[in-house]
Amino acid sequence: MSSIDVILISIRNLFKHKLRTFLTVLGVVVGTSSIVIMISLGIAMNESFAKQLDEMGDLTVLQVYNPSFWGEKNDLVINNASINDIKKIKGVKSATAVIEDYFKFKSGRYTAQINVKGIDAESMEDFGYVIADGRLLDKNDENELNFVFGCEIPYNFEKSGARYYLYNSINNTEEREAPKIDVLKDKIQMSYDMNFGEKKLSSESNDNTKKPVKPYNIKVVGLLQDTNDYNTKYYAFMPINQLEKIKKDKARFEKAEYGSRDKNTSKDKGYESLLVKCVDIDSVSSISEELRTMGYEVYSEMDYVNSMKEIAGSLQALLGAIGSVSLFISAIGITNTMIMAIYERTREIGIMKVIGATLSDIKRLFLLEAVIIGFMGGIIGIVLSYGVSMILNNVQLSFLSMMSSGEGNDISVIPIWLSVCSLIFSSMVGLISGYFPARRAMKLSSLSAIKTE
Amino acid sequence: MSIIQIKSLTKIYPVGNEKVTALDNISLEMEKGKIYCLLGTSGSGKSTLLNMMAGLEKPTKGQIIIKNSHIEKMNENQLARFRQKNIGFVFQSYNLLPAFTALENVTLPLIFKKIPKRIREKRAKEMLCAVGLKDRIKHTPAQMSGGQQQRVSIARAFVNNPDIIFADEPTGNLDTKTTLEMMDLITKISKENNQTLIIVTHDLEISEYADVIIHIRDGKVDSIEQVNKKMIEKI
Repeated sequence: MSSIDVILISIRNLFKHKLRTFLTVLGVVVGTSSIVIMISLGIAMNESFAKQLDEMGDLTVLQVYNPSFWGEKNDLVINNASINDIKKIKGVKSATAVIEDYFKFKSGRYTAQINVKGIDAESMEDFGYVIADGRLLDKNDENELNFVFGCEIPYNFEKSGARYYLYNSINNTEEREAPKIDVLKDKIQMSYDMNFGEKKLSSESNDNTKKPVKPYNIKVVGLLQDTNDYNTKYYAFMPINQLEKIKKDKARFEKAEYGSRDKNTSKDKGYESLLVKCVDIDSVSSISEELRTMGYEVYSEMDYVNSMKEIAGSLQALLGAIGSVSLFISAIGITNTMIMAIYERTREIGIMKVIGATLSDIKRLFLLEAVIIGFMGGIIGIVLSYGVSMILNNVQLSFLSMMSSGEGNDISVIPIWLSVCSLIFSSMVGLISGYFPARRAMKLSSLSAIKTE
Repeated sequence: MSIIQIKSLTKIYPVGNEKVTALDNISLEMEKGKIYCLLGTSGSGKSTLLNMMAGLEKPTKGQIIIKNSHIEKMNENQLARFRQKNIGFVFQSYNLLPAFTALENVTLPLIFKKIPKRIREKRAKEMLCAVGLKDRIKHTPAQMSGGQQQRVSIARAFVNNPDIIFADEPTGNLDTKTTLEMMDLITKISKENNQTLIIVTHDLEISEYADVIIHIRDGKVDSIEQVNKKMIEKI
């Protein structure tokens, strides 16, 4: 029996029992679409998760803290020697101590308050900073007051006295004005005095006892590319040794201004934290484990990513399980329908055998019927899923958008591969659930089948 | 050279704890192109013999050799192929597929034989014309009378042009007039094509169409009677 005849006869047999076929197909439709929609929710979740990942920092960078820095006395100190030790750990590409401070910058009539990170100038390239204009810091900058600015920094410069806001219209990047100054060319000064560059308030105008703080003349050698990373976007970078010097100046100034606060400041406790760059993602966990055994506190974006992945994974498994149950039920429906069909057609099967149908002809006829049910159910189910998916995305049910976390993201995403897979899957379900009935039909004795009146 | 050889065929059915011997050591030979009639009362074992020759039942003992092939040794698929090639069936209860038209019912054996659509439909139409159902081609069994259904069934049996036709009480459900028509038709076609026709019946009148009447009683061959055709024609 040729395949085309098998198909034609199977379709015919299905159409003979329209209602029964329709109901069985309906079962598969519900099963398929529930599984597709559940998976599409998971995919949408993953997509918004990937978007979030994009906005995170470099996953291969570990933030390492000395837990005893602020706590009880401990042997653990982060200094140049310990940094060199860390650099020797297998898989570590580079390491640098980091100190942060907050300064006032001024260029002409414009001022800005900027977070400054002091890092090892030499390591900047290893940490993967990407320059948009100018150059990165290198070893020669260690004796200079040279800076590399994050991409958002130029926008922070505002007319002095203007109302200050750091995150200057982040959300409409296209519409905002160009930076007021050209950071690479214009002359820029920096000071730890927060009043630097501001017009004196009237109440202070008579206060002439205060000596103005001498500002530092700085130079910006590079501007970083927009990487979506909040840890670089809004920071200015300078060599760590220069920043340390300035911090000492600042401490002296503050001591003179406000009096001594902390007697221990003079004591060398090393750095509070450092950054460790790993060679690749795979080495992150082993390195952080090693650092932890050394007594450091380690934080990496990977920890967050991993826990997110875990949550997303188990949620998807749950959704998938719900879908599978309904598809399983529809598989039982197919089997039941096919067994009914065999009882009904016992005689026909017998006749076909007697007039020359081979066992495989009989088997194929019944298997194909089951597959067609699965296939049709799959197609209709996918169409239905696209419909439901569109409704979900447009209506944005509140509890679902909570799950997919993040605004403007689709709640349900059905990629082509999902529809193709589910179609194959539903046909497979038909095939598997049709197998047992088909075997049964095949094994029917033709003689007893004919005798059935 | 005989087309069918049956050697010491025995069939024993277990019925509860007892064993019923349906066929008891039967040996027969049948020649090509002749019409045979297995005549006997119900329960004589004639239908069992037919079923066994068609490979629908396995014998307990003995051999059935049709065209040099041992039927009793074949598996289901071999039997299916063998039936496709060599055997046509006419049943008492027609056994047509109710959802299919007359044409489709007749085409079915050719479909299993993988004959191309154009050829098999032409052949089936010719066959339906031959049995006088030219204007019933598109009818389903439910739309036809018993006689017409049996004609379709005869067309189906002959469409393959098999060497052997088995007819199991072919006229059991038909009235006398139709019975005679049907017997004329079936014997005429088989004679034309030099086919061996084996009819199972309990009806003496039908047995008169045969060249050889094999009387079956209690699972044994009672007697074999050669019919003189010319004498019947005179009567």
